[in-house]
Amino acid sequence: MTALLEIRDLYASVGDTPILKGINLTINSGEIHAIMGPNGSGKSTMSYVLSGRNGYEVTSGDVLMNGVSMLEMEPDERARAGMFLAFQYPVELPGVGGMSFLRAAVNARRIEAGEKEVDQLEFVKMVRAKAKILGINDDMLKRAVNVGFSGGEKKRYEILQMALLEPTMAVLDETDSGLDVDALKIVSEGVNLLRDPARSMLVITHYQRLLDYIIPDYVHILAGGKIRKSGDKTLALEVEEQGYVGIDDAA
Amino acid sequence: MGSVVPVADNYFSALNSAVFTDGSFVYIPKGVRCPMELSTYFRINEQNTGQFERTLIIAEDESYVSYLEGCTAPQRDENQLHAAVVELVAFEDAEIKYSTVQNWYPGDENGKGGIYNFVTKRGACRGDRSKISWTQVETGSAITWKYPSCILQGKESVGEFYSVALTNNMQQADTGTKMIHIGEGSRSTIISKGISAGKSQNCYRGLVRVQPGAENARNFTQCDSLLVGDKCGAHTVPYIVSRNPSAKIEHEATTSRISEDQLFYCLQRGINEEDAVSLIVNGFCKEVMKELPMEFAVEAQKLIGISLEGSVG
Repeated sequence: MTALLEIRDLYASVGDTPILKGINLTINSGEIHAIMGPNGSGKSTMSYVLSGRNGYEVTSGDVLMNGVSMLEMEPDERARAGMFLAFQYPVELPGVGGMSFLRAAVNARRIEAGEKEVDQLEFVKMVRAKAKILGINDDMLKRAVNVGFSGGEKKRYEILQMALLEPTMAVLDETDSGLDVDALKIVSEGVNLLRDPARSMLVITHYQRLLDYIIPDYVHILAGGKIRKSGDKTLALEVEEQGYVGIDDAA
Repeated sequence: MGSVVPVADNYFSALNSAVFTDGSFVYIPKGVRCPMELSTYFRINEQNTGQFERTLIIAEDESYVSYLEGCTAPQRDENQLHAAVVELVAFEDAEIKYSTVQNWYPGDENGKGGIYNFVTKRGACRGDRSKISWTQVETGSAITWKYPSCILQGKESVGEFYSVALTNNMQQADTGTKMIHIGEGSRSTIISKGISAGKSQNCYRGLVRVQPGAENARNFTQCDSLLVGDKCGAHTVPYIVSRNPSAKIEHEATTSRISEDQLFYCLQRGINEEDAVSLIVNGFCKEVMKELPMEFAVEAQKLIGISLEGSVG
């Protein structure tokens, strides 16, 4: 198997505060890795560092996708290269029609790949088909991006975007937060449908319950900016029982 | 002609009245619904010049017309003057929809050259239930002073003003409307969206005036400003005068910036920064853009994207 994403001894700061303190992680094609950790352990920082957000500064180390360092790439370049972030708090874009937003995103990728822009009618059909699986109705597609969506709708909309953009590396930042059990099931099913030998996922979560639905190949425990422990899915259950306290002590 | 905007109304209307040579005149007879959008296109080519056209539109009882104007000018280092006068008259149950996409040359990034756009536009709703609707997308000109207004004389007459004013680099726009309520039950709506980028200044200046006879007059005003970057300015100067206690007047105003969150969200989806800003700004203007005739709306969206070029990054 080839390494799709390789994080090498990564240190990152927000302002003057060091958050990530030496992360090492290799994700092979098709694998699903889960990152669990207490609040303030650096989980969300990790998702922003990977996607290249302003203000999240890498002080040393490297992040490679398909063997190429991403650190010099802008967020949009990374996205077009196949990096996708499902936001913990999806952002509202007032007045920006959902369809034109989705189309702009899909076309940006196509243009980069030297392909033809997507045909409008064909695109609407494609979106509808994928939206149906996620229980997203036409009315929601017609509204402005994320405006007036409930918490669950926003998360489903993130997964719809993932389905349309077909990333090679998807980071799901606390996709379970704010979801009731039914919504969690729908979202997880959507994610599971996108499992693919050519697509890897990094699932960031505080709670084990998401991992009952999206079953990871590996689980890592992040605390104090470092990966303290790695294992298979049983590690998540262990954390569920014992909490993060023991792991922090071991560090 | 001259009955809605008198010769001595202001300095520039006087200048226009003294020297104008051409323009357009539209007359819609009683009961006629003009089936197509009438479209005009203005261009200033000559160097060191001024342009002083006049437009007069008269809509007789129960008639309807939609009229569009587009404006462009080539790049010149010197300033040019555009001082036009537009007069609209709507009689009983008539409706005039007047749309403008103004893209005069705005000058370079240091403020050299560009058009001075000092235009007087006014409409009179003379008849009962008549309606005048102004829609404008202002992206060009070095300096714009323009206040398309409605005099609501007829009973239950309606005035509307939808405006997007976008300024970049060293541009200045001072634009807005006057809604003068004279007739009983007259209503007006004002939606103004100002976008400032670069080192530009963008001002909404407006007057809502309710005269003593305008029983139950209604006005709703919404002024939103969006700032792109940290060297531009947005100003809102609303005047409200109500001489009738039964009038209802609402005013809402907001000022915001393109948030880093919104921008990052678009970038993360692979949309580049310029396209992302254009998407967000067009979203901000949506309420006004949807008032434009279809073909114009598409053009205007692109124009906004182009006008913002170089404002980020």
